[in-house]
Order: sequence, then C-alpha cells, then structure tokens
Amino acid sequence: MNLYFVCTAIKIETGDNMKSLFKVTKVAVLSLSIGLLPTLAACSSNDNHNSSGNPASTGSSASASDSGQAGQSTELWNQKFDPPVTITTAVVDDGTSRGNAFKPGESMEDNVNLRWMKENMGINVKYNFIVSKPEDYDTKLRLLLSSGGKLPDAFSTSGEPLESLVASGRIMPVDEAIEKYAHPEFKKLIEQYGYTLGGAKKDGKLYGVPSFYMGDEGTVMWIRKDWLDHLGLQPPKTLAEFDNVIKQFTENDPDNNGKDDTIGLTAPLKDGPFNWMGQTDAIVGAFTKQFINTSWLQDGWNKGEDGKLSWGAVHPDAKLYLQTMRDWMSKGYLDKESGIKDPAKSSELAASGKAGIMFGPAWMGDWPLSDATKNDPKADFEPYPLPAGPDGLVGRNQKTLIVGFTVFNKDFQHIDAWFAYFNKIFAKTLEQEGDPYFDPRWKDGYYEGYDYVKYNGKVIKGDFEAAGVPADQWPLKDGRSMDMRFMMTNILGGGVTIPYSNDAAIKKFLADPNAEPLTAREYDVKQMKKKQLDAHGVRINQGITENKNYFTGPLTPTMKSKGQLLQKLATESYLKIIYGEKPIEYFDQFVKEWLENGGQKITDEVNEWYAQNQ
Amino acid sequence: MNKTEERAAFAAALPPFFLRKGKVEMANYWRKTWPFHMLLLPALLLCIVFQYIPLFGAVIAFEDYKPWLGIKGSPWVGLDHFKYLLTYPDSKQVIWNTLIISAFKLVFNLFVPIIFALLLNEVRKMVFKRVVQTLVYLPHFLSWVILGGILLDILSTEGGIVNRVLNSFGINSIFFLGNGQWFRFTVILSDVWKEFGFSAIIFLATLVGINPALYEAAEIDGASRWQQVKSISFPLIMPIVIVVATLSLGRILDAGFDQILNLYNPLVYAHGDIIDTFVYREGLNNGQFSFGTAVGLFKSMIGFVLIVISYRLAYKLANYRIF
Repeated sequence: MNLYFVCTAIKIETGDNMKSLFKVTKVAVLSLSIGLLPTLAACSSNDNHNSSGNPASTGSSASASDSGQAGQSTELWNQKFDPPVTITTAVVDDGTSRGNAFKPGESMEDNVNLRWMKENMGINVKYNFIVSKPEDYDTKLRLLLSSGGKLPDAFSTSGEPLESLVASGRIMPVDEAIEKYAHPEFKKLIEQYGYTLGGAKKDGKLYGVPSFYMGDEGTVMWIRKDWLDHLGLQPPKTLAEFDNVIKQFTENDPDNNGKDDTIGLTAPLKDGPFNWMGQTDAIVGAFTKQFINTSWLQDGWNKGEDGKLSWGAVHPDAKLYLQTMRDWMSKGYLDKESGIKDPAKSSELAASGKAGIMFGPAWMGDWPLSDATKNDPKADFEPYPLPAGPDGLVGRNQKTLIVGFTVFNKDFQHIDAWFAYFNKIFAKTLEQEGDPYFDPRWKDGYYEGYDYVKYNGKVIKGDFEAAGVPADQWPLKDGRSMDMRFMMTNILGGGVTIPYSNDAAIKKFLADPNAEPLTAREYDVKQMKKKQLDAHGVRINQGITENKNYFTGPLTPTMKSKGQLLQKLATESYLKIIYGEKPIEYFDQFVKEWLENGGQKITDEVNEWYAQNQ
Repeated sequence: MNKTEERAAFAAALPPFFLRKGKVEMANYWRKTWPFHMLLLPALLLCIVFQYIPLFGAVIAFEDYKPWLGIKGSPWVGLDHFKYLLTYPDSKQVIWNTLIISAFKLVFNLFVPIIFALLLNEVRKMVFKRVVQTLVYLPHFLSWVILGGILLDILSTEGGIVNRVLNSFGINSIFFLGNGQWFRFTVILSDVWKEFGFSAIIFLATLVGINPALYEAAEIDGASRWQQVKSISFPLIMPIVIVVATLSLGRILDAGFDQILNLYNPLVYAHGDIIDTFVYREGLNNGQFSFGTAVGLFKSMIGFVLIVISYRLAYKLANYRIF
C-alpha cells in the first residue's frame, strides 16, 4: 500500500522538475523505511508462531508418552492413543501429478483419512514440510542435518541422504521396535528380504523400516507376433532360434513394405546391459548366472561358490554375452544406435514398427509398445518366455526391491503409534483371513464415498457409471475412482507394498478373465491391460530364479573416489567391444585395468561389508 | 524544462569524482543525493547476503564436508580435492575436451553473431529483418533436453534427415553422435546454431545505435557499403566485441553442461566428456559436496585469471577499458 503510493508519487512528480524529485525521493525513503517496519515485524512474529508451534506439539507428545500406554485399547486392530499423539512427517507433493488423489477442498494436510486417524486412533499427523520436488526434499533434509534443525518424527528417505542420516546418529535404530510392534507377516518379510536392507544398516543395526517395490515386472521378451506369422516363424525358445528370428526380421522385410527398413532387436546400451526397460539381462542370463550391470557400482554383486561377492561385469562369462551382441551388431540385427540411446528412445524403434523384438518389463504391453498399432493397426507385440542359452540356461536380473526407508527422529517417543497405523495399512494390503491387525471398519475399502460407494447393497470401487451409480454419488465429479495412496501413506513414507504379492491375483484372472475381484489387490490386478496380464503370466510360468545383487550397503570409500572412473571404464569397454572398435580379447585388458584402478580394492571392501552385514 | 537545464540537472546527479569537484561541492552533492543512495541500499544488502556471504561457504572445498558435522565441524583436508581433480586418471582427457570444445564454441559464438548482425544490418526491408531475427533467436529458448531428443532423431543414421540428404549426394551415413570427432563437431555446430541469433541481439543493438550521420558523410565521400562496414560499423562495435569476448573467456571451462549431458554417451566419452559432466556423475554417485565446490572454485579461478589477462590486453591493444 505504502510502496504503491510512493511509486505513483514518484512517477507523477518526475514529469515536473528535478528539484521536487529530490524531495519526493526523500519522502519515499522515509515512508519506505517506515512502511517496511510492520512487514519485517510481521515476518518475525510469523517465525515465532512457527517455532513455538513445534515445541507445543512435542510437548503434547511427550506428555502422551507418560499416559499413552494406559489409555490404549487392547485389541490390535483398534489401538487408540489417549491423550492423542502427534507425529510429524514430511512429504514430496507437487500437487499436479496426483490428479485424483483428493476431493475438491481436501489436501495432503486436511483430508478424510487424517480426520479419521485423529478421531479413531488418536494420532495427529503434522507435516513439517511439503515440497514439490524430490531434489527439494533431499535439500531440505541436508539443511536440517547441517543446521542441526529438528528432523520430522517419521519420514521417508533413500540414497545419499539416507547414508548421511544413518551416519549422523540422529535417527534411531528400529530393530527392537520392529520386534516389539510390527505385524508378524512384516517381520517375515524383513527376514526373507534381509539381504536388501544394507542401505539402512550400521554396525549390524537397522535404522529404518523398508518400503518395498513389487519387484515383479520381470523381464519378458516382446515380439511382433504378426511379423512371426508373416514370415512363418515360431517364437524362439533358444538363443539359436532367437538369432534366426532377428536375422529374418532384419533381412526378410517382415512388415512387407518392400523396403529394407527393419531390424531384429532394439536395446538401449547407453548405460550397459541392464536398465529399467529394454534391458538385455536375458541375453546375459542365457550364458551365465551373473547379474551384470556396468553403470552402477552398487549393483551387480554376485555371490560366488566360495561365498565371496564379485562384480558381474568383470566375470569372464560376460565375454559370451559381448561376443553375441557384437555379432548381432556387426550383422545389423541390433539397432546400430543402441549405444547412444536410453530406454525411452530405444523403445521408439519398436513403437514405430521398425524393430521386432524388445526385452523389458511386463507392463510394456501398454506403454510404449501399444503405440505400434498407431503406425500399423495389425502390429501385435506379444510377451514370450525368455530364450534359453546353449546350455539350457535361462535367467534375468532381480529388480531393486527397496524403494527407500522410513526413518525416525531419535527423539521420537511414539514409534508404537506409528506401527499401529503401519500395521493397519499392512494388514489391509495383506488381506489375510483372521488377521488380528485387520481393521473391520475397512472391510469394504477405506472410506465410503472415496475409494468405494455402496449402491443397491453392492460395493462398487470403480467404473461407477457402468455400474449404474447415480452421478451425485460418484466420489469425483468426472466419475473416476480415487487414488488413495496419497492420503493413506502420510506417515508411512514410501508406502506399504509386499514384493511379488500380485502373483496369486494374476493367476486367478489368467485362469478366468471374468472372475469377480474379491479384494482390493484383485481389483487392482483386474485393471491391468490384457497384454500386461499375459506378460505377468509368462513371467510367472517360466519360473526363473532371478539373479540377485548381494551388496546393498553404502558406497565404500574406494567407490566414492574411483567409482565414477570404473563405471565409465566398464560401460565404455562393453560398447567398444560390441561396436567392434576393440577385439573381444580387449575384455581381459579391461578387467585388468578395472581391477588395478581400484576395482580390486572395492571388491575387498564389498566383501568386508558383506562379512559384517550378511 | 529546456535542454540546458536538463544537462545541469544531469551533471548535478553525477558522482563528484567524475567531475573532480572540491569538498564543498562533495558535501553539497551528498546532501542532495543521499536518498538515492538509500534506495540503493536494499539491493546492496541483498547482494551482500546472497552473493558475498555464501562465498565463505567455499571453504568446504578445503574440507571433507559432511552435512551433519557442518562447515565448522568437518575435517580439514587442505588441497586434497584439487589434487584429486588434477591427478584423477581421467582428468587430463576431461580438461582437454573441455578446453577444445569450449575454445571452438567461444570463437564461433563470437564471430558468427557478428557477421550475422552486420549482414542483417544491411537489410533494408524491415519486415524481412524482423522475421529473420525472430526465427534465428527462437532456438535459444528451447532447452537442451528437448533439442537433445530432436537432434538424436534428425542426426539418426537410420532415416535421420541429415543423413538422408548426405546419402542423396552419395555420401555414406555419418554416426554424428556416436563418433568422437564428429561428436565434437556436432556439439559445437549445434550450440552455435542455437545461440547465434540471440548473441547477435547485442551487436545489432549497437549497430542500430551508430549515428546515421556517419554513414551519410561516408556516402557523400563516395564510400561503398563494404567500405562503410569496414571503416564505420566494425570499429564502432569493437568495444562491445571486446566486452563480450572478455566476459566469455571467463567461462572457458564451461563447455555447455546441459548440451553435453543430453547428447553424450559412452561411445564418445573419449572426445566428449567434459569437466561438468564428470563432476555431475561424481556428484550424482556420492553427493560429494566438497569436491563439487573445489571444482567450481578451480573453474572460477581460471576464469578470473583469464578475465584479468584479457582485460589488460584489451586496454593495451585496443586502449579500451571495460570496467
């Protein structure tokens, strides 16, 4: 207000003469400094509110810890904290990419689930910060670490910030809490996938509750079935047959357009053999049991027969893979530009109808491969089992199973309350009969009018229009179903997923596509596109023991100082051999160089870690 | 207000050291102008808070910085990070690549816009001039993420438009982004293409600002267009050329991070990996704050030295002071 007035005053006055301008400026400066005062005061008082808000909440939770246990309900599914407990957390939320997560008027900080938790569980959730980008989230954590600021009570983290947090000693070990409070089935998971938890371990203690990936996307082989049929070929079951198929795809004009414009296999090799899509781990797997990856030193540590770990990319078996790829590259069966492409770019060749085969996850049947029909309505990518190598070997790499960890401020008093909520969501995800943690109030879904509606006595969870639900009862005005993950995972960080837990539901719908979905999981699975479901079927039926990575610890000192060089060396050497710039014998020289430049030291460090933390 | 009054007011507003006035005038000057200085204060304050104070953070280049230990608590390692940068097996290659790519970019990004500006300045038809100007500086506003994808397509060996044109002339397809030497060429050319229109703006503005009387006089003396360019336009844009060249010398160790990151790949590491991409990979791996700061400091140091040298040279050779 002040400022605006002053500015206009100057504008008007400048038209006149210089002398009066000086006067006006003097007035302006005075009123500016006066005008600024209240604003500054407002800023600082605002700060006071914020900082006084925190002690108040911690105070209440501290007092809660004294009497919390006494006021607890005895039933596992119905724990209520009285007086209420406040749990602070933090989250990344850009407000846009989560389209249908909240109803109009509701938000991350104010929604039906938070109100429900407050009322029925006595848990207040407070967000210490909500940022829109993962980078900002990490920056925020680093700032809190370096400034000694108060960390949220429970929050999710991974990678380098996790490493810093574990090393800083400002988060608490959770082994005891898991033992004491966690759902028994979750304890089993921790045991089963213990080898993946190294990132949050220090001195043998676990410093975070892991969030798992489903891990089940596998690698399947996607082939243009219409091309196979056109050329009268059978889906390849062995690598020799595979070789023939890509040869025919490259040379015999499978799309029948009279031009020599097709290739057999498209694969992104810019980051080495393993990637999130288009990976050639199946070709590696046909020759060896090694998990091979060249662009990430923390991944690809295989357990040898002597129990020692070694990096797959320098294993002599890799030569067989390289020889094969080199052969295909020289013959033109493999995309000539593989070396400069990332997965999305590489998939364009398949989607545009120029490449006949691409390896990758089971979901590829939808995006990107369904785009192929845009160019050619007859284009039909179908999932097939992975081809077997000369010795009958079939294999692929296991995908990363860890999203991140939920870690806890070491001063957090109420990890029991956190687990009360965690177990409830976990039990709901598990949907096991007779589970004492399962909350019967969530039998049909979480909240009526949100993730489900009741209509004519039936529970309806989606396609409301098709089910005949009147528009005024739809959860969202446009009739879509709501994505509940955002409001349900508030203090749980990365959320609750059980690895490979979709398999049973997938089998059910493969056997009978029209079966009635009985659980939330089955409902989700039924949403999959047919080709995705088929691909999962292919993956499950082939029953491959996936090659695992056994090193999940933090970067070792030599990885920090030499890792970048060694990753570059490996990826570069692989490509040079595949492109024929270097002979296959160069592999031995590469391995020698790799070991001499720090690789041997890293291997020792990794084994040292493994001996301590396995 | 007439012209004389205006000039008097302007002279009064000038700082006294410009006019070499006495003490009394100085006091007079301050009395009249202190409100202006006060108005400058907030900007100065912001500058100190956000530009100068953070400079002290550069000490982490000499520490093994750990976020939870803070700047004060982190152990002191002296010049280790600088030694590491210079003795790393890859460093020679990476610094060499940076210098080559950057030097070529510097030269072409200076001369192409000048030539373009001079040519465009000769165009008499306003509409044509405007349209061309808009079209050529448009690419400047596209990010390298987008251009990277586009270049990958148009330079593709399988049906990319550039290689198709080459093929039609009977030339074999060139793997622009997968062959080291061609990669450098592609990087430099595409950067010049992207930026020359935008860089030309400053030269065009200078050319427009040249007093038309000079050209008129030259024409009366019978000078041809070329002679006019040679003797009027060129000497008069020289100061700006020197400023631009000097300032870009300061960035000699920036070879274009976004561009290289979006275009490079393991096939061209040997010719295309630059300091910034190397630091990026290093940082991405390990969150090495200290090392990143050390490299930044190293680059600024080299840039600073080069700016000082070129400033001296500009003064000595062209008798021109920038600052």
